[in-house]
Amino acid sequence: MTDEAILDQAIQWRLRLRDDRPQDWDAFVGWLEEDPRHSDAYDRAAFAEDAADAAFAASASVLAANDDMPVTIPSPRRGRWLGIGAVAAALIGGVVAVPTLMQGDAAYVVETGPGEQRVVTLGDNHIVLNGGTRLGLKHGDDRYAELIDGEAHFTVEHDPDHPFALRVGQDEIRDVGTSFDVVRDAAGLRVAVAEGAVTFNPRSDAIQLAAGQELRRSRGAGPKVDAVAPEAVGGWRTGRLSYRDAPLADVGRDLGRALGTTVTFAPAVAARSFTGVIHIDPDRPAMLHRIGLLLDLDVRKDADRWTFVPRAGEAR
Amino acid sequence: MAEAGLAQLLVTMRQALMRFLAARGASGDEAEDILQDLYLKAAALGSGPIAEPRAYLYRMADNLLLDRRRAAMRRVRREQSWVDEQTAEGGEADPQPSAERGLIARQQVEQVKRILDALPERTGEALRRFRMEGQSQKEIAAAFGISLSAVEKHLQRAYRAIVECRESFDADFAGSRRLEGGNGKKAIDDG
Repeated sequence: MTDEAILDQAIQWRLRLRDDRPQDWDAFVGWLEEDPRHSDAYDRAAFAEDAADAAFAASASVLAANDDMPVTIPSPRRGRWLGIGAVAAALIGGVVAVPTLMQGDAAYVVETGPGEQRVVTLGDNHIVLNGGTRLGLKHGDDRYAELIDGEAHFTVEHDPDHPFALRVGQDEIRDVGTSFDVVRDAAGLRVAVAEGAVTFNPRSDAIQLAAGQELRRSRGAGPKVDAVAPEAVGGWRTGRLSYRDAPLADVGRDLGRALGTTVTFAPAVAARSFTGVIHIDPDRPAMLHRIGLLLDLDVRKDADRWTFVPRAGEAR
Repeated sequence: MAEAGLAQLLVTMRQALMRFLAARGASGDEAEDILQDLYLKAAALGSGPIAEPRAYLYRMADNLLLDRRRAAMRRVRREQSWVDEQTAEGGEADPQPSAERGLIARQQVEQVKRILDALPERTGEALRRFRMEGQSQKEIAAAFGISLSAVEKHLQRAYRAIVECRESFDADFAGSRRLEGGNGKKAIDDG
């Protein structure tokens, strides 16, 4: 077989393997074993993606640039990623400069697709992004992040001279050496501390949150501090969602992020409270049906959206 | 519920993954290291929301191997440009040794951008959706109103153009040198 033909096959494999069918991987091993040149050709196809991603990221940053704000082209910084992405690992275009969101010269955004998780390492700090999350970072500053949307868990080294600062919209969270979880979504803001302590809005509210405390602020309301089980904070990273008296509406949003779909509760039941632990199961329909049984609700699927509704009057 | 988790699955898939990594040209030690890294990740994920755990483990093993090869390529480039600088400056260290490398990297990005711009519009757009928006071939087929195999042809053409561009660039800048990957038995074909 000619090298040309081998390269064509290698590209075909690279394209096909992205669909995550286990039987494709088995067949791929067979193809690789046919000829040692196959593996080399597959590397060439994979590295072509790096070149394409860098070129697309560079184009995107140029398009996003304002006239008065020079933007440095972000490099993909491969070495810094520990790709714990789930299904679409390393495939969602993660690095795009967004000068409008953050002042400064080298801002870029890390994104996860629905249902995907990803670990970002900044110096000694580790940030795990939950599904459907956008996080703004700055090149050369590993003590700064902005949660634009979604949920992330932060484990940061404390440095009294240079505290870690997290922006969430107009709010700021400053660490005192800690592990904490932050959600920003349509419902508002939630900060939960697993270890150490953080300061919420050090210049205005100056609320200290210690391990086992959680701050919630709904849109247009003031912040409220509650107790939370520290070991439950960030449980989504290992597929475990724990609640104490949480509104079902919150549970639905968490499930949606974890499963990469939309999960809602009908208005009649959205305010009900839930206490318990949900294990995320890759078998999405089975898991949602079990939750329905647990809550005594029916679950309906409409396109890519799951809705829990009060049980129909007649017995099933 | 699926309490068995990824780490457990990794134990049962160990032989299959070793065979896969060997077929991908990894040495025994390299394969062991990769499986160790993979085990730590799998243990951290527990039984997370992963649709196809077996495919996921294959993919992660492949990604870890590719990351090692990328690091090896960067190392070779760094060392080579350092040697070039030493030679060119008659033994004097270049005050800005990384500036040159940065320039080469930017030139390569510019060249790939030109290649992408020169592709037929649909071909470039298919690649953009596939890489930047994470759309599947199926989604792209639906958006364009064309068949799956037509989408595959677009993507294949785009990949091939980039492979050729990358390799001609490497050949130009590296001269007769080979930029080798980590396994020491790669022969990059300048085709």
